[in-house]
Amino acid sequence: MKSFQGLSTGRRPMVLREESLSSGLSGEGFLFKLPKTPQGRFKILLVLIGLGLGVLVLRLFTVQITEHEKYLRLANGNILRVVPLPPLRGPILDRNGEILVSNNMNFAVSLIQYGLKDNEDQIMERLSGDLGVPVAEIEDTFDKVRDVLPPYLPIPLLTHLSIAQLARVQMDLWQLHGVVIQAIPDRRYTKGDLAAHMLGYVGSLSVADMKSSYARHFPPGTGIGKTGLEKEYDSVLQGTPGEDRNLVDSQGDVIKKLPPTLPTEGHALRLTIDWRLQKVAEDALGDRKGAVVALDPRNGQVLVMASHPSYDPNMVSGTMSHQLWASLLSDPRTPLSNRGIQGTYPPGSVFKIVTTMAGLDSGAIDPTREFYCNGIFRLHGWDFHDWKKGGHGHIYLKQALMQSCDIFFYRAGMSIGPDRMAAYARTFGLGEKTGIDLPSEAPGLVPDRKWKRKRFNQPWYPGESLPFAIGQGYLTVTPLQMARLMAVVANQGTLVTPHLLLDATGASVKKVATGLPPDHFPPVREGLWEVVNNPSGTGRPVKMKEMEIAGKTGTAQVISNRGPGGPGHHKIRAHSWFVGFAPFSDPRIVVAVLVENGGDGGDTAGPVARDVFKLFYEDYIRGATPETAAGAKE
Amino acid sequence: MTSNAVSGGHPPEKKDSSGPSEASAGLPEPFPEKSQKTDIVLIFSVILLIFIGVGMVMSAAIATNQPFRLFNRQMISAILAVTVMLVTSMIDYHFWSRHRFFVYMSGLFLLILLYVPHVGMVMNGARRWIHLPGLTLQPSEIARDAMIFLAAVLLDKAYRKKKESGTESGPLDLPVKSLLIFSVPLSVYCALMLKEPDFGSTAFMVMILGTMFFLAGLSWRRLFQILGVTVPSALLFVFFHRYALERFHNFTLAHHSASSATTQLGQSLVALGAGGLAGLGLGHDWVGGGILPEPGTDFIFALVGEEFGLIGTFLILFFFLLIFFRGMSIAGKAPDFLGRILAQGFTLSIGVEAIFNMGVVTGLFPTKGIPLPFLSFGGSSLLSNAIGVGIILSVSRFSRKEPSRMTSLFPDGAESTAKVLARGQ
Repeated sequence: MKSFQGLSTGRRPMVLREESLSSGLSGEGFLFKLPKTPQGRFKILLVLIGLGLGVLVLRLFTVQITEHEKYLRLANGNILRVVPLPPLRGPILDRNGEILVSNNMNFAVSLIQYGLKDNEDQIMERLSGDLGVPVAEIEDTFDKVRDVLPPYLPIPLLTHLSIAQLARVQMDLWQLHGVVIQAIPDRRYTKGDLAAHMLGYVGSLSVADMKSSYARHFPPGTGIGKTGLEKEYDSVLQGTPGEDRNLVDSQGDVIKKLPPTLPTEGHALRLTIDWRLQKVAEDALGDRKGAVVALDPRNGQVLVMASHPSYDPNMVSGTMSHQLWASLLSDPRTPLSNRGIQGTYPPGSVFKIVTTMAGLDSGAIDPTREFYCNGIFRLHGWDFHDWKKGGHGHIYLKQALMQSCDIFFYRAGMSIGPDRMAAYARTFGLGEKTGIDLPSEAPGLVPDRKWKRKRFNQPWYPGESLPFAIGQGYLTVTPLQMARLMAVVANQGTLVTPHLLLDATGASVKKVATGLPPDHFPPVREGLWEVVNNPSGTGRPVKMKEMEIAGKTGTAQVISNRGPGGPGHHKIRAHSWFVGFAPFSDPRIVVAVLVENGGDGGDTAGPVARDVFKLFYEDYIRGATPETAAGAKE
Repeated sequence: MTSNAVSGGHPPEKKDSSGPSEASAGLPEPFPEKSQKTDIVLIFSVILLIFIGVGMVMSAAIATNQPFRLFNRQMISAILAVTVMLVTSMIDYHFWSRHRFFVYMSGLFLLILLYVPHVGMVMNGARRWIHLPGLTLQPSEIARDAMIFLAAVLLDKAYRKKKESGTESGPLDLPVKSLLIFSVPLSVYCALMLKEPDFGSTAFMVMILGTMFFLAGLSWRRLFQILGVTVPSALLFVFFHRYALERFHNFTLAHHSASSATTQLGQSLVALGAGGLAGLGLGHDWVGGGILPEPGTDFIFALVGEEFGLIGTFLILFFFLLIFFRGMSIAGKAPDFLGRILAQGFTLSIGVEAIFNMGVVTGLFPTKGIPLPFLSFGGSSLLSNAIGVGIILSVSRFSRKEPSRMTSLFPDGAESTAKVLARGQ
């Protein structure tokens, strides 16, 4: 209490000094002219602080002396160890309830840092012998996460153990202190590489994930969606982790097991996909690079989302050899990219639908006016050729669409102009993400004057309007955008948002009216009907007897055909497109097919679309499978 | 005439206090040179605590892969803090009051830096640190110093006004207008700190300011008016921001015996209790081994308890008590009101923060996020408290410099003490 005295000696003299000072002077008060109040207040503060101090001392004494034994026992002996249990991930079903993704059981050997003393090297060596894996590899896995995770959590060293590995570790377990064998649920993609891109895959938590706000609390060994639907709906598919509660001693050995809280399984996803249609589409695509997208034009439900080449997500999920991953990444055929939403291609002649709508609206196209096509369009001394030598002769809009006459649309494009064409392209949903519930969608590109100025710092040259009008040049789209565009034609004016989650409430159905005049659709639809059903139409290979199909072919040149060389002077084969809808009178499906470097649109892409239409007719129109309206994520 | 007045007041003092020689000095030179030197006891206690803290931080990290990483950082912070403390003690505290606008703006600038991309860091969901090349700062710590300073300046002004007006009796009156003017920077600070979010620091700062008002002798009526504004707004904030409430929930959970080893508080109690009377020895780290999250920061007191037992915790408590009473003693001997209220404010800030932190560690308070001054890992808290001690020391150093001149000039009130002292230098 020496210091306290120091205080009082420090304070008192001042009070008195000031009092005497003020009395000796003009009577003004210094600090303690009102000696009662400030001093009294200071005393109040002292009492309060003293009180707090007293309680603190008492508390310290209780904890450190009175309850010392109890806490020492806790510290030395029984410690409650809570290990989170990974939950089962929700399954993914197709629209008819067919299981596309489910769970497998998978065994992992894990190490608990706590209790690991100086015998770490010994344990690692023994484990490496049992597992037949180099020591460096195990240690690497361990070192990556040991500082991130609490020391009592088991860190998986190797997952997907074989029975032989499992048995060897199990036999050695008595001398492997801190090592546990865990059963960790694992993803199983029942249909192999079917719809692999759309479904995505699951990977183990990365170090970055463990630090992220989303996945920080996931137990080690939890799968986390890396791409596709697995990523998009990860929070839905993830269940709630449970807790395994054990009392352990200072060596980390379990003394007593306490009742665990069980993990709850994640929600199931019911998709709009029909796996039979998907299978037919993928079979028809075969080895070729390309994409097939089918959707319901009435509500935007996606029926098919295929992309080739593909990969087996069963191989990618969980542990995967570095060679496999490297080969997937470096493959020039880019098997990891989902061409349906990430591949951007010139739409080719399919874009003539947009040019037609723009032309009809602006008066540049009159369906009743005759047009003469001689096969050459001349602009500022440059010759632009039609795909057909000699031209199409005397035609109307209907024939121009049917035979995909380029000259007709060159002329239309010239008078419509790039900005208005771009505006109509955007009305059809091009140049922006469709909003499908998948990650990493590409928006494509719709060029206009402003973009040209910004990108190249150049004005828009009139010669650039011509390739634009027939879907070439700077314009790029994704197959999904093309299907959505055709859906607008099919449902006569409504832009639907494609979605993959089947929803009984219909809350996921999003429609926007495009505001296009309804009387402009019949001439376009008529033209598209002729494409497939007229003997001289470009889409003739798609024709079906049972169901009326309408559509548009596209043969998109990969190297630009601007300039004097004219069309046909390119080195790479053109991309083939077919985008169509059926049945003609009451459209229920839109199919967009793209085959990279497939050549002629009708001949290459057409038959793929036809296979999808055919099965759709058999399953949905003739009535084998009833329409599924109910069911959604539970 | 002044020397008469002073000497006239001397004898009763002698009667009252049987304390150290400094108080009962000779008549012709009432303030011996000893008081003009820096307070060695205070400096010694603070430096001791700082280096005990460095050792504890080292001990907390000893079981991890990089035991020296935090140690090195804390060592640098400690050396920096001691330097800053000594430098601040050299500077006359009136210097800061003349540049109060600069003090306010620099605090504000640091707080605003929090919201500058790539400078303000978000960790564990809170935006509390600014990251500059080579250093990481927690601006709310520095801002607290600035606020305590501004409050002291405000109170000093009010006091001088009262003195001029000649109403000696009655409590200190702070006009609503100047209170409102003061509340502008205060609310800016609070808003920026609450947005981090750092409710604990904000509430603590407001509490310290309130206590300063209380000690300055503000009228009870005004004090209750201030309480009437701050308490409901704090309650409203807690109501709308549940995180503050959640801590309370965790607090109640920790006192449930079944979960004693799973919550942070439970583990803290286990560590303290395991230490017993003499402790388990330096480097014995059941807690430091990683069971208790972040043992080096807010819960370092538990580590002290584990390693050095009740003796260690009492020793730390004793040094804080020493700092508190030295600080209050310096406040009592301060030459002017500004010095007194400054020393009181900074002493309070250190003492009350220490009590709060120890209360949290021993499970008496639910609040979280208040470090133990000088000991906890973290350069900002160290720096902020070092500045505080530096100013207290400055008050003690400059207190009775040329006492005769000061006392002679004081009564006419035309010139401020600051000017006088500035001239004196």
